[in-house]
Amino acid sequence: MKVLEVSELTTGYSGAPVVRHLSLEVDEGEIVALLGPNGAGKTTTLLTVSGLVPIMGGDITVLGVPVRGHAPHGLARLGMAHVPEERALFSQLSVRENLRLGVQRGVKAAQAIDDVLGHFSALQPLVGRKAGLLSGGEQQMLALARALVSRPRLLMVDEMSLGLAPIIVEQFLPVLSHIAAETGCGVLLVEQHVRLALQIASRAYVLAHGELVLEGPADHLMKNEDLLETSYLGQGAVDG
Amino acid sequence: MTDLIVFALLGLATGAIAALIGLGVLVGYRGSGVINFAQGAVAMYIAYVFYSLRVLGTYPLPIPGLPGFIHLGAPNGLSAPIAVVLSLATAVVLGVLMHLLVFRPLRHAPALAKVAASVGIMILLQAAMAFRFGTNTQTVPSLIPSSGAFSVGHAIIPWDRVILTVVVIVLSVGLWALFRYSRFGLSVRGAAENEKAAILLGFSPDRQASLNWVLASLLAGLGGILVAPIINLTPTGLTLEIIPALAATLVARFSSFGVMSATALVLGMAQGELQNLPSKLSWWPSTGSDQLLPFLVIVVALFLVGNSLPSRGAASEGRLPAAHATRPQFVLPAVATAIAVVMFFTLSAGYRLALVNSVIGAFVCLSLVVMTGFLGTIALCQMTIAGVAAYVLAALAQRAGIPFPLSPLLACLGATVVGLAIAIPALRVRGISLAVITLGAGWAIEEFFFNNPTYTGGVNGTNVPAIHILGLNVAFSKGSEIAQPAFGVLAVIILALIALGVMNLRRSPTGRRFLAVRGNERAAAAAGVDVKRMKFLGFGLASFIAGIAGCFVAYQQTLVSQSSFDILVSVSVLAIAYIGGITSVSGAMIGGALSTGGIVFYFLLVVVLGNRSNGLEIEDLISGLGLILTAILNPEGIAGAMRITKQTLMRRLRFGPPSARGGVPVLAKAPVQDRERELA
Repeated sequence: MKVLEVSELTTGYSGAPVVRHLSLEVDEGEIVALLGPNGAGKTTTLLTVSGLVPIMGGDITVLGVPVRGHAPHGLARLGMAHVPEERALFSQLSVRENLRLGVQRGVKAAQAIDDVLGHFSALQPLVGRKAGLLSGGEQQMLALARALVSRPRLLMVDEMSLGLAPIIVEQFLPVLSHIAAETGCGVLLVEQHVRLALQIASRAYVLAHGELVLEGPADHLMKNEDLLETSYLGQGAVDG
Repeated sequence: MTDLIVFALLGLATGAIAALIGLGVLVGYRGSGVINFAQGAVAMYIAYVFYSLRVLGTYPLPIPGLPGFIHLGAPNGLSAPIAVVLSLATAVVLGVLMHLLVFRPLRHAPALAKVAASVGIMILLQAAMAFRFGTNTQTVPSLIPSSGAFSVGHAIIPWDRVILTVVVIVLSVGLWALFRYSRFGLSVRGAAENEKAAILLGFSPDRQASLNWVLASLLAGLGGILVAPIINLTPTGLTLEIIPALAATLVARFSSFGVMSATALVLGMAQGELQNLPSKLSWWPSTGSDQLLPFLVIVVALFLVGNSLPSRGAASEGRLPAAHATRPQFVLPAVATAIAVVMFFTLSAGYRLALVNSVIGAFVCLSLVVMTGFLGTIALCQMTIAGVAAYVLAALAQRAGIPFPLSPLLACLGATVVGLAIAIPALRVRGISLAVITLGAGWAIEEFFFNNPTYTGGVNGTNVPAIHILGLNVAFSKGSEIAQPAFGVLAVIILALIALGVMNLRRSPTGRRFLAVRGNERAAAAAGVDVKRMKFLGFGLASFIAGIAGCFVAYQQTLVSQSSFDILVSVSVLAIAYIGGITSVSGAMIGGALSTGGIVFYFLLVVVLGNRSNGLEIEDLISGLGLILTAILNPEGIAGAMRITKQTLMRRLRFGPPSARGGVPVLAKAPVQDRERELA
């Protein structure tokens, strides 16, 4: 089953489109990477899927439900989790309180939190600490844990590696593979570390200047790095 | 010692109502980032509803044109439980309405619009109850036993004070637990810090805000019902309890329920003690020292924690109303002045009086244009500053015999000094906190200075001699003939000069620096603007202009009395200036026309409605409603709307209708085409 279908999406700000005619999809249990240089429109795409940026054209369907006309908070309740670029933690609340707010209604909070902390053992001794006092890596861990505690069926992660040492990112990515395989959650991953992303993704889309310039299986793209380079830098730059 | 305990306990009642209003303020602030200045007015409104149900057996409908009351078939009043339930249900409805009609549309608006709207609600609720019940004190039957007492040592402690204190403590603890442990409370705290994150986790900020407003209204309503029997119920009394409540919330840094309630209770007890001091110490000021205390607490609290007050992480912040610079204009002001002069010589006394009131109102609105429109500091005490000038003028002209024009000039300088003094605590804070300071300052000066017979003659007022210029008598009235043309002409000429000055100020480098400070103080400082100097300059100029208004009020009334410089008059003046257009000189002129007793309301009340007795309340109802609507729909006021309409008309005359030019979408498409060209 497809957990996310984007077809012919055009979106942007104040009437000016930033992303044009983008189509992509994510299957259950699948990790899909959305790649591209700065300013390509990756974050805008995720924000539009979350309902925070209005759709200008095309359609988005999350878990079989059209995004258009849905309030953003309602989408989260459908089973979608979005870890935005800036992590969006509640810095004045403790780690446990942050996690508690991630738990969906009708689910036992203590059990769900314990389950998630199993994946992030480094957070366990910090549950009583304010989120604002955690290190960058710990905050990223918490952001991911808070998204997972809602047991999402679609998880979108924006720039997980931003501001983190590659060694820390390498610890996180296997967790995503594990979760996707274990729970059947579809993951859409926006990442600057192309190699790391392609290691865990099954497929990838490459955006440049708001348009889809390349798509294909991750291992194929890994083997043909020149293709990626061309799509990031443009034909002229590579030729030159 | 016994006295000490007795007066402290007397003060507990006001402390308790301040605490309950303060709890509502905190809940509302956490839920939507708005400091609701109308929280006291909500308590007052619900107390009146309770009074009406319990005593008259009727439900009040405070809308002009509707029948005043719904009779509920109980001529001797409803039973207490039914009255309480109906009153609190009204509080729930009021909370929902405030959220849906006012604060929800303003959720992305700048602080100024939110403060203006909450002040609008305050004026509206207060005017609504004054319109229906009059301004006399009403006696409300008590819910809690008011006669019982017990003694500790020599002191007799009434039960009602104890019960009130327990209610405050229980509610504070309950709210603390709600926001500390419940999922709802945590989500509200989270959303206050990062609204986007809360949305992404599936929380609706809208639902949170509406629940918080309902809770806030319930707290205020409960406070009103419990305390109204102990303190006297008038439309203004409970409304102004917002001032000590705000003082307490500032001490609690807008976050801790416990600290806020404890501060409010202690403040109330201290105020009780201060009321007793004049009888103990002969040198102690006879009135107002108890009302000075909240202001001092506000100043100290802002000085200590001003920089670290938590602000709300809203998803987006709307832009401030535009303050356009206009080309130097002389023809229009000259024509307007000439028309006003001709009107003074041709119109009847009633219209001339209304015109004088409008000119005075325009002065105050001009001072608000400088202070709020250009500098961005929300001022709720302009009439108090005007009042300072009026009293200084009375002292200089009457007691010291200093002639015109030196005496009014010195009086305006006196007002400037007071304005600068208020600016000192204001230097460290901005936005809503500043509105709190000015409200507290206005109230303190009114109670401590204006109402003190030793300084000002108290309610009896102080005489001001008429203006004489080169031997010519330019008095406001000669015999029974009021609003003499010469007086009006003098006022109009000075108004024209000041208006030109303010117009030029906007175009000058100083005006641009003011706007920079208004937009972003840090960015302005980074760009080399001396923010403190600009604030002092703005406060000084605005106070001087307000001082001129005060002098004219003094000359007009010949007997200066505090009622013209009431804190609620200051509040409604801000409303009128905002409706007229707070960022432009033309807006100030429209504000003048709309001001109390001014030309618009004279026409409406005397000519259209045939001189009704409750005209003042109708004026307040209209300005409260107008302020809310302006804040939501048209932040640049009537003047801004007129400017936009004029520009649209001019464009149409020049270029024809938009359809002739191929419509608007050209703009939206442009960036795509550019990018496509780049890619190609």
